[in-house]
Amino acid sequence: MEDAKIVELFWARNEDAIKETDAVYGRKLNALAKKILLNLEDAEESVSDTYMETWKTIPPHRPKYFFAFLASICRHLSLNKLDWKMAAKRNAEVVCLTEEMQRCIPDTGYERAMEAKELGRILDGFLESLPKDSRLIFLRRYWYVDTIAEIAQRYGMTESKVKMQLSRTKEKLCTYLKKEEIYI
Amino acid sequence: MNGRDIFLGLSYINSRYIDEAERDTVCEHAKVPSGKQSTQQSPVKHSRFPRPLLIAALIAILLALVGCGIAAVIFGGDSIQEWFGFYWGEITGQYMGADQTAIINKLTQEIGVSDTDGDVTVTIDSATGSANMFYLLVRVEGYSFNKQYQYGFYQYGFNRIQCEIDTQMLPAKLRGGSRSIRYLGVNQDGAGLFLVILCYELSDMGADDLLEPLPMKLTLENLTRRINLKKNKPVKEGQWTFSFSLDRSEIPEKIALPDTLVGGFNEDTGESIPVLLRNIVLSNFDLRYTFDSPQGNITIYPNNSVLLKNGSCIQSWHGSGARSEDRLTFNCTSYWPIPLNIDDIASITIAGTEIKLSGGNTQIYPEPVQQNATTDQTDGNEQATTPVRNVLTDYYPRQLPEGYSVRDDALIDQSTWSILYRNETEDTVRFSISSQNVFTDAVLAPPVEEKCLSVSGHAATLQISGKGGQVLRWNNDTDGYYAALFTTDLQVDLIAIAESVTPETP
Repeated sequence: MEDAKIVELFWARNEDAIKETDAVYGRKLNALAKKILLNLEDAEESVSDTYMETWKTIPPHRPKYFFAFLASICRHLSLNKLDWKMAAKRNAEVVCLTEEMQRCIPDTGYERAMEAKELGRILDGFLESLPKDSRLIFLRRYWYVDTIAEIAQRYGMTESKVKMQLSRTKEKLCTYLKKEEIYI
Repeated sequence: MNGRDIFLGLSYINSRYIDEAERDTVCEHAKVPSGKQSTQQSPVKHSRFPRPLLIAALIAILLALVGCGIAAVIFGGDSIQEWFGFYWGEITGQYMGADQTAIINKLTQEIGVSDTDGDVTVTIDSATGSANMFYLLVRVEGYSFNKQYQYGFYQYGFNRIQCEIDTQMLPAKLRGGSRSIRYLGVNQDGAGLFLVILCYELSDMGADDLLEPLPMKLTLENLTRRINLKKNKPVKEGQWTFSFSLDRSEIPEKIALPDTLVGGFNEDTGESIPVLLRNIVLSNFDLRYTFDSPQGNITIYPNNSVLLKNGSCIQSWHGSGARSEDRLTFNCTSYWPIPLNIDDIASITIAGTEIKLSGGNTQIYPEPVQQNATTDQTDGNEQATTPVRNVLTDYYPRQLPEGYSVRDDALIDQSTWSILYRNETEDTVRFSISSQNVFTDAVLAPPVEEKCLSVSGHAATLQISGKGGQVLRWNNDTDGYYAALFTTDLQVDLIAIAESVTPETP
């Protein structure tokens, strides 16, 4: 079923909306949650919560990008559910990624508290400034938590090229955060 | 702040980036031959090919790119040719070659019209373009631009850009258009430079080769600076209006490409199917093609790019699509972000299928098109033109509640225009007008009180939700439009706004 029709089901308060959403996007959402949580049961719970949150949010929302809308909720809920200490012990991918992000913060930026939403807006500006290829690779890595090998496979590139692109993008992020006065 | 904060902050980025990363792919030139690819895993299978309605996808791309002034650029020049040279370097990583420069120069004309409001003078310096697409270099003097905002997100813009094209000068019905503005930075004298990008679409795809000058009226209102993703702050109030003609005597180069099969899908069944693209025409400005969709359910993903002979890949920056008048085919256009020299193009890629350009491609030399402005015979044997109004652009509220100003306006599809007004407390009023469709998508939270009344003598329905929010819908069958006003502010008098929706007086 196409996205617009599923959204209509949500608006009509028809519970088939959840069934149809799961049929179309369930696997992708499960994969995303599992990459973050490394636990099938927690991932399934996260996806289930995603459907519930979507049910509560549509209406009044009418998302233009339905999968992005679902995936955002799923990623957010999964990160909230994540036991970071346990994840660190298990050397989870998501912990490595946050450490990589840590290295993008200018030295004086650690003192600055910033709301995630505000940071999201700044990151929007950063993403807009990137060439499309770099943006896609950056988001596959840090938003979808894809491995380097998965990104290379997805885009038909070598792993070393993906790594190089990511390294350059992270340098740009550091420069961007400096210019956006994150360090103040 | 730590790395986890940034990771969490990514949860709040714009959905379009998330969507793009899910369904788009990198430029062909970024890929390597399959033999060099990572061989650790089998190819990733996409469980479901996204199948948005073509128009919706195209319009979404168009809207997403409107106001793309947040790109991080520092441009130090002062002419439109220098801008294109600079931008060429940004998107290709190379210097612009002699032939490409010659194309830009050939398509560039001086305009040189200014308007002053208070102590700020705005000048339309020059234009590059022809046919139905123009880039205008705008210079703003008399305001002290802060160089701190030259790079990054907090850039300057205008609160409103209004462009009026004399539709009688067009050889076919105007079916849509867009205008966007990009801040380029300050020149050596401290003047702010902007690029205004205008394009329009005609109902007949082949009808845009009119050689006569195109009269145009452009209005810019209130210089603003972006302070966050959703809000622009007025930094200098004013209105600058320009009337000028765009020379269209330089016809864009065009070549016809062979009919080509690309991957598409049937929206009803979800099946991937081959789609035959016909009438493929590549020009300096855009790529056009048509395909049959008699049931309206066949679509392709509009992911188009050109590969230059020097190895650079340039993606189309936005596109539009509409059904033909017989509703059997889709007419699609993708615009290039910069005018291109066709001789420098090695291949184009449409919906993932590459079409190589060979010397055998047919060069198209368009014949000048006769104007078809409506004329009436008068008693005195003189011809008088009949004014033709475009309800989408000519009709909008002339009276707004105190404190509200235009925040955004956009062409939603070829028959619907929407304007968003916002006040300082972030309450909104949205005005939508359509030449074809009744508005039914604004649903208020119950309990809802409904009243039947009239707007300028036309039947209207006002709904007010007990939880906040009002919607007013009416149909003006005299002037031929459906309209709706929606607000989150219960203090706003929607009837008064609706009564003020009138066309511009000629």
